[in-house]
Amino acid sequence: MKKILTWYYMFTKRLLRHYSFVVILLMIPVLLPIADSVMSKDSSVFKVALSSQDESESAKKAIKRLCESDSIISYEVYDTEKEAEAAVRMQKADAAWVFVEDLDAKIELYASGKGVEPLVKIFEFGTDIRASLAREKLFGSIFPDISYSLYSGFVRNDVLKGKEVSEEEIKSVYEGDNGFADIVKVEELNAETVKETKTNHLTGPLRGLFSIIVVLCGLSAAMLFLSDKKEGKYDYIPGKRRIIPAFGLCFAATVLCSLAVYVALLVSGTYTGFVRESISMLMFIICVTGFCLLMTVIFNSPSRLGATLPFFIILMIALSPIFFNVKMLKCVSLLLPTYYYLHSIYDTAYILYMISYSLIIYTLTLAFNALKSKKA
Amino acid sequence: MKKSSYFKLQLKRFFKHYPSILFIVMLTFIAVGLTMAVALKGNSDEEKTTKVKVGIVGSAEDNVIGLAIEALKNMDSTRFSVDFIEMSESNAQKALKTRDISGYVDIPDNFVKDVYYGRETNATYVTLNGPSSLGPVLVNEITDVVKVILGEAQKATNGVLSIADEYNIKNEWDRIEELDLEYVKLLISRSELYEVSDTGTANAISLSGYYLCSAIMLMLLLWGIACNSIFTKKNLAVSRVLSVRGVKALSQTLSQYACFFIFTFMTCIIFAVMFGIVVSNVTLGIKEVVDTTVLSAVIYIFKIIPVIMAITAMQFFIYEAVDGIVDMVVIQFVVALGLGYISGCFYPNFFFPQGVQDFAAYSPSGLGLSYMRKTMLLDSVGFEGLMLCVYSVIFGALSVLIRKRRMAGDRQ
Repeated sequence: MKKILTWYYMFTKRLLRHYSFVVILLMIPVLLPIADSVMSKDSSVFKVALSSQDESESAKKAIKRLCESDSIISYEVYDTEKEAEAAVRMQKADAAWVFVEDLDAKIELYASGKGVEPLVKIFEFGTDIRASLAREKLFGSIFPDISYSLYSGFVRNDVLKGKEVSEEEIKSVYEGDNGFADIVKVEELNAETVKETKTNHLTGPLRGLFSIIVVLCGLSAAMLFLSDKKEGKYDYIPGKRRIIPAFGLCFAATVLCSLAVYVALLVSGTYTGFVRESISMLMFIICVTGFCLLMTVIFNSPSRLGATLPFFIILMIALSPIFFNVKMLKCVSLLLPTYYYLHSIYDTAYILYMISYSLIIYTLTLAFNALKSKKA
Repeated sequence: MKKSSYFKLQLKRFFKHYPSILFIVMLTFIAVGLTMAVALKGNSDEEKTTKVKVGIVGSAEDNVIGLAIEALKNMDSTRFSVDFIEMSESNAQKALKTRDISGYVDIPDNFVKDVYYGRETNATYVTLNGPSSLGPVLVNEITDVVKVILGEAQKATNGVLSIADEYNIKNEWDRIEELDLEYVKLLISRSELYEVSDTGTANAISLSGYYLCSAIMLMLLLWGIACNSIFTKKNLAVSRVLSVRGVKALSQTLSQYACFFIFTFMTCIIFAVMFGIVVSNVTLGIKEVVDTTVLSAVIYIFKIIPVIMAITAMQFFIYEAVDGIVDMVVIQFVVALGLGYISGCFYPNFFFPQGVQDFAAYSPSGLGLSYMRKTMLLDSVGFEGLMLCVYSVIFGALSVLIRKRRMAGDRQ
């Protein structure tokens, strides 16, 4: 144990002697909050140019509802139809929605079931998933007026059948009811155990990308060890015991990088709580060190290990829950430490899985190391 | 020592490392490609892999709810597919924890009756606070629209009941049934409310074409990391000796960079040949590469030489500026992923705020992506080509300066 600590101390000192490494470590806590604040500003998956052919009340209300909604679709209002259409042509917007003239009358016509005339002119570059999803939001924005119109006509013509009733009365009854504002409630299954974070679809992946940096740091430390070994720096240590400096070096690099990532998470909006984050990170360090040690033993050459780095990066990006939750190739995902770490933040069970993962990976490393030393 | 001899020596040095790098990179791509193909074949129903899955818990057996779910599935004029799966609450919770579903809707007993009679009730959409991805965000958007529709319909129902009560109208429940039918009609005919005009897609790249260019860019950005074993060993003493013998910093740097560029270009050609063979035999569904042959794929690589030049120059500069294996690899990764991310290699770039898009558009990767897309669409690439050449020169000049400075520092 004392030897491991000595190696760990020496290697930490060695790594920190490189100014560029220190700069990277300092850069990480600065990068995440900057990215967080920049990406949270006006990001959207679909931009819509809004306009109206006249001053209809319904059009004004629909535009107001859209602009005030909290959505991944962003809206910009243009004075004229031509300007809105030009915005699409100039690729400033993905689509233009122009509310037609006499919208109030056309909504009434539609709600009465006497005919359908287009209420909105849409200009877009082909129809994709985003455009289709956005159209549902558009329907949601004009639906309150359509609904009121339907209700009002229904009350007059079907319920009261010509009896005298004022528009104010019909309206006050409709608007006095909140229509069960919470008819669909949204709850989070793990809301009690996990603090809500301020991430969106753009900043969410940053934790995953930073966790890959930790793994890469460990793997490059493993390369450094292999390159030192090739130069004969560890020749005085018996083959089987060279795993000790390898552990020291990988552990030192991983700890330093994890600390930087931890501070970055702490100062950004993605931190979920001291206990959970600390335990997850600690287990992640142990898992990453074990993973890197196993790779050291398997590849046993700096150039071979170096060439595999893009492979590991692609695997981790594709199979860990960074951008998407990929269900395929779960057996491969289970080999990656990032997979467990990213899940452990939201599900305690994964911390237990990380313990099992560590036990398996260290056992495998020691077994491979013993086998290779025996052969040598 | 002659400069040409130094260049030949560098070529030999690169060639010594190249086979192992190429072998592992090729193996990687073949393995990833084959596994993805097998995995996709296993899920041959393509929709199953792209649908966002939502569980339905509770009164799904209720006729009205069942009808509503069927309507949602079939009225999917949006083509945005949500797969509704009926399940028990415990199964739904398990599936949510394992991320097999994006969320589930818990419908209480008598939900429809309560709504019908105007009694306060609510369905619950249960989701999981987890790593943010796009699927759940899209489902939340749809939930918002559903909330508006149900809420407004409920206001109308309650309004009719209230007025019927006030004016002593009998058979009000028959009326409500009629009203509900009117709402269903409105929902079914909603696509008729829009007059859609296509503003023309002649010069726009398809999403699959977009991602093909992004994949090439990502491969180029990560290629620098794969070559780390060539660049990690720096011997300034040798550089100094070479300088004394007439191979100055400029020649040294240019020779090394030229070798790096040649080997990167060779790798791209190998991948282009492989891609050409695959595309000639398999339909990938990317409209931009429908008629691609091995020759046209190779020609495309020749056309994107400015992109390869700029990206390799940037990577070479990083290797020149940074010391130590760990630092080199991590910085290469941070730069590659950072530039790839904001330029749209993972999410399309229009997802990002305008400021980030503007910044990315002038970065080497942003310009490179724009150049590759325009080349694919046979558009003019004058500005991007010029900017990429400027970047190559800047990174090259900086690399020479750093080499010179290091050699001078070494001498002192």
